[in-house]
Amino acid sequence: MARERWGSKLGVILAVAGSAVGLGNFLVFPAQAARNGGGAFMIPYFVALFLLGLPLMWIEWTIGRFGGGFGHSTAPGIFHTIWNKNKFIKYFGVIGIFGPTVIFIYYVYVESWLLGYSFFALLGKYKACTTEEAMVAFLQGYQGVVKNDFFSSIAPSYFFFLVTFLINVLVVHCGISKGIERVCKYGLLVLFIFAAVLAVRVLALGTPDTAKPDYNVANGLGFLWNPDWSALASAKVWLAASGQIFFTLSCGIGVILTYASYLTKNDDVALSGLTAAATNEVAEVILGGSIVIPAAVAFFGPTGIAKIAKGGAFDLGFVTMPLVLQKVAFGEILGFMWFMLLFIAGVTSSISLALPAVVFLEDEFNFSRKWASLIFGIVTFILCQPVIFFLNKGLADELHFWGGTFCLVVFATIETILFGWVFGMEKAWTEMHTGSDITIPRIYRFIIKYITPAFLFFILSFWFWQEWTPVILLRNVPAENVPYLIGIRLMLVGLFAVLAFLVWVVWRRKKVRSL
Amino acid sequence: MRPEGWIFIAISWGAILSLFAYCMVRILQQKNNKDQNNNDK
Repeated sequence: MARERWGSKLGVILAVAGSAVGLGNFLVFPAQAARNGGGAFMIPYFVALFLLGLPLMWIEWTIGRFGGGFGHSTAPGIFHTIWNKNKFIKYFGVIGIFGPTVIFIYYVYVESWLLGYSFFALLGKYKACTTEEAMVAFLQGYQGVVKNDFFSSIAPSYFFFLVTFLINVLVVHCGISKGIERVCKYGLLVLFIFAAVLAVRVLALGTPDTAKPDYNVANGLGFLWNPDWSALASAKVWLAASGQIFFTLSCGIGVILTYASYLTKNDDVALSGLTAAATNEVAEVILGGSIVIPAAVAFFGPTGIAKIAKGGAFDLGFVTMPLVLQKVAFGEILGFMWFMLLFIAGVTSSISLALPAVVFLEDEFNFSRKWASLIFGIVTFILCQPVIFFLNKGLADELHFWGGTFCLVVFATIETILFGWVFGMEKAWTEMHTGSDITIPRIYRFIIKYITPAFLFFILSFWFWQEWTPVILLRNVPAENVPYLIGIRLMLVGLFAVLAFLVWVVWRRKKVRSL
Repeated sequence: MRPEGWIFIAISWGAILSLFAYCMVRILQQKNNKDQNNNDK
């Protein structure tokens, strides 16, 4: 059967950009920048973009296209193709299917809240919530964490989850060019229009309450951009910037690898990778930085925003923004645009997360796309249930840690070493420039081979000792949540074991056939 | 916002928009070249 291909070059770039542009661009980036030195945060941010983000982008695009040439679209096959003398490397590749699937399990539920909220905004359902406390109660009622005047059951939330889940599985079922490419092309266009409208509206707010002259948009931009030079001396700020670059570009998950595997041998990867990264940066720094924080400062003031920023990214999106948008003209429509743009950002990311597992079943077990999507849909639907019904036990955070943080850094480290050291920089450089529309500066030969892996090892070790050890050992977790978290960890171990077993079965069958 | 804040915003936005514009121009140039080649054939 002929291998599926992307419909156009712009299509694959927008698909990768769609995978990268997610909730983090609009919610996490502004909060991170505001907490870590404002304008000064952008210095480590750009350093990390050039030393970590772009090299990882190019590595994933290149090895993805390389593996696709051998009929592999997922990390086990691609890693094995690069280092076929090593019997175990394909099992490290399992992370490239496991990680995105784990993220998909909780991400699709969070995404469904955005769909629900976009309708609530239009219908004015949260209009009665005029304080932060009321808005938090509304969110908790919707999530089914508590029963209150707003929601008496989890049914509305579950309904929107079902719709969102079906949308994701259907898009993946429709395939690369007719499903993912089409959704990302139109989705990103709508997302950028909505984000631009909101950014312009926010920047035009000026000083909404003349009795409070400090509450204005310029101070909001100042909160985000005024540099705090002392922050540059803090290792934590450098790590926060590196982490932000890492997560925002969708590197190290295994999805870019899968997308790039559908390119032909002479399709460009250098310019495409750079364009996808640049598109993501426009969404993050320019649009993401111009909406939430400036709007919140204009209505809650410089002291209010400091408290809000500490509350985390979700509070900014689900509590602060609805409160702000209720106070401006056409608030219902702007509220709808806000949640819909986040929903689209979520969908273009979650379909990319679903793809590695689906194409693994297709490539290695010869399932049709229909059956592969159905199997993926049934399995992940079951795995989503604990997250939905035990949300208040911290299960989503646990999945985010393992799938969205731990696996990401480990996987990126493995693929960087494979690319620069096992594949070999000479061969890697030639492969990167095959069919290339630009020439990557030669300094990147050195950066990819030495700096990027060193940077990753530094992040890995620092996070491990400073931040991960308490999480891994379940310190700082309420005692009543521990059994649930152990349960979800057992579920993850089971999922990884099943995937590793499937990889073993595939290669055993290949070995038997070759005898 | 302090003047340094405006400088940081200008440099960051300028760098990102320039990179984005460069990429888009190169992509469109390549597309036009390929279309031209196809028409010539």
